Amino acid sequence: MTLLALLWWTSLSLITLALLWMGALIAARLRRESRTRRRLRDRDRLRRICLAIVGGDGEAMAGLRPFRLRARLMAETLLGFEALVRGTERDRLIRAFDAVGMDARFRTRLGRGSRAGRLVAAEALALYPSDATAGALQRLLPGRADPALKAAAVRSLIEIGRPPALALLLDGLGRDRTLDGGTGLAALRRVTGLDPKAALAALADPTTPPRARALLAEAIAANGDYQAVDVLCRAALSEGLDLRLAAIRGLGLLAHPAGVPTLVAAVDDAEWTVRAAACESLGRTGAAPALDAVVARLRDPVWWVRFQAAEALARLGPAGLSALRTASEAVDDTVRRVASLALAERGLVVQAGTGASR
Amino acid sequence: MSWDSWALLEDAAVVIALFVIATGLLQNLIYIAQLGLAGAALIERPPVAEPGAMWRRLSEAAPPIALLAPAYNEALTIAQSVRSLLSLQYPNFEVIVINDGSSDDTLQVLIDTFDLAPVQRNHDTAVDHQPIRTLYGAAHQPRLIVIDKVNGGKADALNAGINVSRAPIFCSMDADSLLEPDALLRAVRPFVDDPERTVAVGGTVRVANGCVIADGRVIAVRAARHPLALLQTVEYLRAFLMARLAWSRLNTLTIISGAFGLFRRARVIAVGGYSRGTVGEDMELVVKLHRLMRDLGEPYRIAFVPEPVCWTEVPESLRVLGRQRARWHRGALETFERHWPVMVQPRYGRLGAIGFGYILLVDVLGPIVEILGYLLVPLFWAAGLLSLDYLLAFLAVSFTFGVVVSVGALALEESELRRFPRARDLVLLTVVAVLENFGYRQLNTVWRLRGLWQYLRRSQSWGTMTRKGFTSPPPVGTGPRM
Repeated sequence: MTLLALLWWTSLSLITLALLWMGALIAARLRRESRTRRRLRDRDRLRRICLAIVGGDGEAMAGLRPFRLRARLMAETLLGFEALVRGTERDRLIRAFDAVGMDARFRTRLGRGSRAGRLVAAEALALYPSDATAGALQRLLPGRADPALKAAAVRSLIEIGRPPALALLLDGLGRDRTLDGGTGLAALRRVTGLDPKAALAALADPTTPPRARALLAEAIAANGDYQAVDVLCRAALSEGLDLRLAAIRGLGLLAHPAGVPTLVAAVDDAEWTVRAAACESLGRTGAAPALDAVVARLRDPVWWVRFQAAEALARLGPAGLSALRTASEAVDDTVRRVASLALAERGLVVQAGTGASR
Repeated sequence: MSWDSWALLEDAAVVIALFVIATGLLQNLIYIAQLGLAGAALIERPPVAEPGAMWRRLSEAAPPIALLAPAYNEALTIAQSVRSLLSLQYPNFEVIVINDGSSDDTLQVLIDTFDLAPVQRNHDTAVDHQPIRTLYGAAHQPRLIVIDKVNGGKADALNAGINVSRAPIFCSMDADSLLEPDALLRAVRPFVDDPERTVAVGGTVRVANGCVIADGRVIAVRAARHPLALLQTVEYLRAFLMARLAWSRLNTLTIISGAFGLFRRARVIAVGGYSRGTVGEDMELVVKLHRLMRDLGEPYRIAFVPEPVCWTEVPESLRVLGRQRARWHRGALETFERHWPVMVQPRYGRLGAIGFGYILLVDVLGPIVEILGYLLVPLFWAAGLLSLDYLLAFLAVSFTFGVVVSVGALALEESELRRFPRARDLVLLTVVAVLENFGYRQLNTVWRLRGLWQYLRRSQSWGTMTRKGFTSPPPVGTGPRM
């Protein structure tokens, strides 16, 4: 074949490919449109049935039977309604779905069908606490399952009061990005609340991965366990920034006087994020010995630290406010500005012109 | 002409023709690679269709966000826009409207509508901007802060917003764009999943022309009726669903649209905020963030999420569109000029090789090569230096490649997102994807050349962006960058 012929054949192939591609998509769309119409119609019907069930119509439950094979539609509708109703109405709804065997159907759906369907089935199972549900959800946790599905399984297990073992959750951190972020923290908060001793041991254990320790520090403190103060004070001296920061935040959440010396030391940390967190935490503890350390941070080179220092002083009662008033007359522009604005924001001083800046 | 001169001209014609063909081929191969990468990204992380599911999965972990909406002479639409922003579905956010020295009643409308009063607020001064005159708070809307400042342009206004915001993440947008109610919840996902590494996230901007809009919301998605808006619809799909998604997968995304992007505030402050005195401030910021993170040697991610949708009105006049495209091109060239050394410094890795290599090929060389091709190849043919058969065959390959790429972008939209509910809109867009290669693509090249000319003359003009407005008569403002 000559180059010329090759070029023309390439063009012809490309345009045929493009048109076939789009033709197939349009045909698929037309097919999907009829399916979508059917799904929307079914969803409407199902919603009306749910409304009747919630309203106490005993006969309405029979209307669910034709939909019992459609786990995704049932799970989405159930979760949508469940978020809107409470008390006996909610119980009625959950029982009605249970009566047509939806809990078993949701468990089966965990392992087959589209990803979206599996996810929503895992979420719906939070409404059906049982050994079978716990077993089905726990089977998703080890191995290489979809991280989002794992996160949904963890949430549901916690909801049904069968949280995964802390070790399993910590093992998942770092391996699955979905558990590594805010979702992991939320799950850890609940799990540590249920098993505080194991959580404290894992936090104190230097072999626990640093990221997991950082999340644990925040989670344990959020649960208000004062036994954590010592461990957090030690963690606040860690070289890892994440862990140090989490420990300082945790000490602030606990607001225990025993944490104050550690927080005062952290106010001079080399990292501005730690300094800001330390100021914020000292504001929460309301400890008078912290006053001088916090006042010194009003001249920090980073605004966020200055702002947190001023906020902390405002929370430290009359002594803190007095320190702020003194600072608002300081010679140093930076100190004066941050202190006077903190006072002005609280309506304590009418500060002409501070709203204007560069 | 002597025989030697003629032979020299013939050699030059062959070299130029080969250069034009090679560049075009390389561009098309890159587009095909982008298509594959974008497809893989969509399959790997398919969008979540149901807003309720997003809320269930993310609301507990979602960090606070400050929405920064710069407004310049938008008195006619600002109240509706702000109401729409305040009703977004997100657990913890504040709206900071920056009145950038408007000469109309924008500020007064805001004061009257939201019962604003001057407030004192402790705020940062880390990034430079024109002076703030007054900060306002709303009596019944604790989430709303209004900054009234001296005019300084969009970048300047955003810098003021960054200083005043307190949330760890801010969202930059245009006050006259429309956000989907769950756009923030969807866009924040990378920050929740990967909080340590994520420094910025871009979202999809789509064409609102033709859609049914009520109370600041797009309530029915329709293809645009105006041909120019239709052409831009295909272009936007290609730019967002293909190019940005693909480069995001390689962590080499060099632009996040000024119409909708989320940024980690501390990192943006570390790079000095938005650069003033450039028309490509959005691209400039993303490149500065890349450089900061690579200079620090810290792992990071600048992501693109295809689902969060910001709707914008695109120009329906050739004159306004031409000005907008020239300005965008000038912005890209300015950024390339400031940062081109990243291409030759190994520590910038893929950013230099892929991100900037792409800018060099498509933005810097692209329009020049394309116009050279359009002008010289027919000239050489007329002079008998090139074969007509080959000329037509190469043109055919070039056009059909373009069609495949446009259709591929539509296919991505159709296979994963399906925002156009009617099949006939899809048919219409398919036809447009073919037709855009005949005339519109060439016009774009001319506009980009105009941008190159303005860049060489160091023009800083933004031009006037005339919009019809979603619900009202035309406001005047600065246009969004695609």
